[in-house]
This record gives sequence, C-alpha cells and structure tokens, in this order.
Amino acid sequence: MEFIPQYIFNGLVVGCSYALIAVGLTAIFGLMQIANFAHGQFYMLGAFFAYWLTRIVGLDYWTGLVASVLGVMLVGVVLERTLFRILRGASLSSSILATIALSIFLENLALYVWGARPQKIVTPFKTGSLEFLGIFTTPERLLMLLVTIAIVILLQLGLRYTQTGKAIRATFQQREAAALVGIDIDRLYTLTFAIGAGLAALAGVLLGTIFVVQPAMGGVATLKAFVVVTLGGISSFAGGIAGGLLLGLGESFGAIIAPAYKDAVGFILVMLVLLYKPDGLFGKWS
Amino acid sequence: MSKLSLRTALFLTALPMLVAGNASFADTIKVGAVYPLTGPVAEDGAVVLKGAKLAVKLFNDAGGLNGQKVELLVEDGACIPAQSVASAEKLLSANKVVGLAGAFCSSSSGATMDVAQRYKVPMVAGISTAPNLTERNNRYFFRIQATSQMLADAFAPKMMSLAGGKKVAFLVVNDDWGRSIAQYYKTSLEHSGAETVTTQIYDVTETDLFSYITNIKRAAPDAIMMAANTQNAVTVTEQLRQMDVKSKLFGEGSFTAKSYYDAVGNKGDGIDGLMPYVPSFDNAVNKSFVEAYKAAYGELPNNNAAAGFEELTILTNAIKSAGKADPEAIRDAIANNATPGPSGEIKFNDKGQGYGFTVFLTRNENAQPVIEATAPVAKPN
Repeated sequence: MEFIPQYIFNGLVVGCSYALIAVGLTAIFGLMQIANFAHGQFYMLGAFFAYWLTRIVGLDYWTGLVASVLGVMLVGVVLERTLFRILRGASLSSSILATIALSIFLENLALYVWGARPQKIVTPFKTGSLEFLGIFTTPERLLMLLVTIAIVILLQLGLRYTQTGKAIRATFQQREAAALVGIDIDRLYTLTFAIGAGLAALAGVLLGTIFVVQPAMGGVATLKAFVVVTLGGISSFAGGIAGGLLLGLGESFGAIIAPAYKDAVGFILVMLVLLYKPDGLFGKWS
Repeated sequence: MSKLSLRTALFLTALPMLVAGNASFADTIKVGAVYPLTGPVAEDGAVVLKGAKLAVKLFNDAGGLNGQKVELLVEDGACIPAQSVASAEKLLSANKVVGLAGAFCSSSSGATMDVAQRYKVPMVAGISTAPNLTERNNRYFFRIQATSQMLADAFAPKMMSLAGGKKVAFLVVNDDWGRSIAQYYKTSLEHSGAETVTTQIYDVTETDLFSYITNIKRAAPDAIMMAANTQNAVTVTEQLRQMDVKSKLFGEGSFTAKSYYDAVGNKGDGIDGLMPYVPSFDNAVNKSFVEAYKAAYGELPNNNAAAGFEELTILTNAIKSAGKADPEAIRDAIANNATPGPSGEIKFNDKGQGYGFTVFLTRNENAQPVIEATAPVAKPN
C-alpha cells in the first residue's frame, strides 16, 4: 500500500507526456482530416533540436526549449504549406501513406545528422532526485507535470475566448460553413498544424531531460498518441487529455499486476472503449 | 513548385543513392553482415560494424586470399527478426555472399540462421547469447560468444558473495536474450543460495521504467541482475539512481560501452558487468587489436567492437584456410580450426558453440571497467 502514491505519480507524469503529444494529433485530425503518422517525429525533432542547441551550440536550457519549439513549428509550417497542402482532400489512405513515408524520412534524417547514439539534453536542475510523501521523483518530472497543466489551461482559454479559438472550433464543426462566413481556412490549417507540431516538440524537449534522445523515439510516441486519441475520442480536445492520463495510469497500475504485459494495457483499454463506447470516452469537440 | 516538378526533383535526388547502393566489385570475395543500424540498438550495431570493418581491412592489408580481397556487404536488420531475415535473403540470393555475420539480437539471429542453413552458407554470431540458438542442429551456425548460461555458471558464486544477501531481482529487456538471462541466471544464482524475489521485463522501446523499479523497490532485493543494450542501459541506470535504489547491480550488455559512459558518467560506477571482453585484457592478440582500433577510430574498443572484429576474423581466416571462396569449405574450416581472438583462442564444439576463451566480471570505476574476476570457458557438452 505504501507504494500506491508512487504508482499514481508515475502514471500521471507519463500520462501528461502522452496527453501533450496526443492533443496536437487530435487537433490536426479533427481540423484537417489527416491522420498524421509522422507526429511522433515532431516530438523526436523537438528533442534533437534541444539537444543540439544546448549541448553543441551551448544555449541554456530555457532558451533552447523555446527555440526548439519554434524551430519545429517552423518545420510544421513548411510541411503544411507543401506536403499537406498537396494532400488536402486526398483520401485517408493517401494521407496515411504519405505521413508514414514522412516519418521514415524524418527518422533517417535524424539518424544521418545526429547519429544513433542515445543523447541527453542538459538539465537546468541541480538536484537529481526529490522525495515527498514517500514518492521518489525528479525536478524534470515535476516540470513535465506543471507544463502540461499550464498548456491545458492556456489551450482551453484560447479556444474559448479568442477570435482564432472560436474560428478553430467553428471549422471543427463545419468546415464549409466556417469558410462561408469568412474564416480563412488556409491560415487556420497552418496555425493548427504549427501548434500541434510545437506541442509534440515541447514534449520532446521536456522528456529529453528525463529519458534519452534517439532517432527511433518517434515511432513509439506516434503509436501511443494514436492509442490516446482513440481512447479519448477522435477530434476531442478534452478526450486527448483524459485519454493520456488514463493510459499513463493504466500502464502504471498494469505494471503491478503483470509487468510483462504493461504495454498491452493500453490496447486492452482501447478494445473495451471501442466495444462499449465506439466514439471514445468523449464525443465530439465541444 | 508544381506537382510534376516536385516529383522529378525527388526522383533526381534519389537516383544517386540507388546507383551508389549497388556499387560493388566483381573480383572480390563477398561476405555479408546483418547488424541493427537503425532502431533502439543502432548505436551498438554501429560499433559492431566498426570492429567488423577493421578485421576485413587488416585481412586485405595482409594480402587477402592470394591477392584477392574480401568485401564486406552490410544490411540493416534493425534487430527485428523479419527485417533481419529479409536482409540475409538479399545478401545470400542477390549478392551471393560466401559467409554471414550477425544478427546481433538473439531473436534476429535465431530467425536469420535458418536462412543461412537454407543457402548452406556459414553464419558467425558474435553477440547473441540466448542459449537455445546452438541447440537447433544447424551445422552452418557458429556462436563465438559465451551464452548467458555459461556466464551465469562461471560467476554465480562470486556474484552472491558480492551481493551480500540472498534476495535477487531481475530487470531485463523483453527479447530472447533478456528472458534467457532471467531464466539461466535465476537457476545458477539459486544454486548458489539465492532467492528470486521479482522479475521485471520491459520492452526495448520503453523509456519510463519507474513502474518496474517501484515493483523492485517493493521487493527490497540485495542484488539486481539487468540485461540492457546502450539506450536501455542508460535509462535503467539513471532511473535506478533517481529512485534511490541501493541494491548491488549486475548487468549483461552495454554497461561498459563508451556511449554508455558518455551518457551516464559516474552514475554507472559500482555496477558489475558480466562481459565477454575487456580492452585491458593482457593478451597479445588483444593488444594489437586495441592498437589498430584506436588508430582507426580514436577510441577504445568495447565488447561489441571486439565481437564484430572476431566475427569477421573467423570468416576471413576460414576463407584463407579453405583456400577458396566456397561456402561449404569455409564452413568446414570454421568448424575444424581454432582462431585467435582478443579474449583468447576460440574453438567450436559440434553444436557450433565457441569455447576456450576467457570471460570477465568487471566493476565500473570512474567510468572505466576494472577486471574483478576472470574465468575460462570450458568445452560445453
């Protein structure tokens, strides 16, 4: 029993990282109807940009963090204006094939540029390990938790109260109608894509101080993000957050019962949700 | 840019890669290697390749086979069994290699060795330690590494005295190698009086191991036996330290690799490695290997570099003693001859299991492996 808080905390931290990656995926899918299988590679690029900026260029962590996120957003904008604009209106299978190709290209590009050696991003914190209420953790993990909470609040406020947020929600509901009332769909697509890529990159920079940075890290992230999105309900913002936390906690507690099958927990959850609530835990974007 | 011109540009960019990929020379003897060059073990695979290339270079510099040079063709198996099989198929059918090295991960070697048998071409495995590989009646398969079982038997009593208590836990990666470590070390250690309190198996792509480590903390073991290649070894070490685990740590895999030390620094100190190779081993072959490796790459070789070097040394030596590039003759030469290696001379038993060399128990001190104990590998039955 004394270890229960530790399992909960482990699950929350991992769940936050899943949520952060999945929110971007959800937004891109909901708005643009593109299943982006290269989403995990934005997470990987974010981590490598930060590694490069902090370790090689020598910037401090916080500057590196902001620059990396902006850098990946820029990559996102360029890709949205080229590849994804060509894909607009194409069938779902074409966009899936194209994004899978993009993911292979980006992973091998990273392998070519930075090599296969697992790297660490320099952490801004001095203390290695923290203990409170019998829970062991690190400042990097706490930061992950806090940043996710902040991002969730910011996104929620932005969607609810800003002009752009309203436009995004309108396009989510009815693309043609939104265009008819004068919403600039092109600009919105670029913005959404950039934000989605940026959030994945942010997760990469934060997790790069906790885990190792490696070209192959994106593939698993994509897989988990799709599990989260299916759990929470495709194109549901709140669902992405809830799905992420649910998966993180599910895996953490699954590890107590059957450690070797920890990763199966996510997929069992997905099967249950699809059986009993085919639209995911949360319906459509509110 | 219009769709058409974008497509043309992509094609033109891809063209040189296609051409370069097929460049090879007709008058060389072709030897193939399947290593993980992408995916989570890519770093370790790249180091194996460095050792392998060095062995081929030394062989060719010494005149090759009566002036005919050996050419090493490498394919990426990614440590995925299906991809490793496809790579081996390509090397054997399209490139007509006369010998094969690889495929690093035991699961991949297990799948690839069947292909080698089908083409009747010898395959030498330098890394894969899952014991069952040499129990499959495959006369074309040779393993130069001590199996996990042999390492466990050699050092179990010493490990128990270092542990300072009876309770052991396992934290291993989920593949044939990791699971065989959990199986064979458990048997050997329990023979020496140990009691297994928990076995935690994580996936090679997993990055957060806090749940498993929490499970281990709950079981309060005196010692933890680990199996991990570089990426996992870094993660395991850091997270064990972050969760303040005080147990004595033992590991097979990359706990003495340069990339490991570069990433964890002194956090790896105090971890004992069960190693098939240590660069400081006092042996004439090893000294010249270390010199040549340092001259070529500017760093000390680790166990993976030594394994790649030995794989190709055995293949090239066998080509020389066979006197011709005939797979069957090369197979017989491997089976019948002893080859000198960085950890001592290697011979093979009827099942293709290597023996006769030395294995090591090392302790990490100031991010360097120090030899704590050695043991000779006797001929297995």
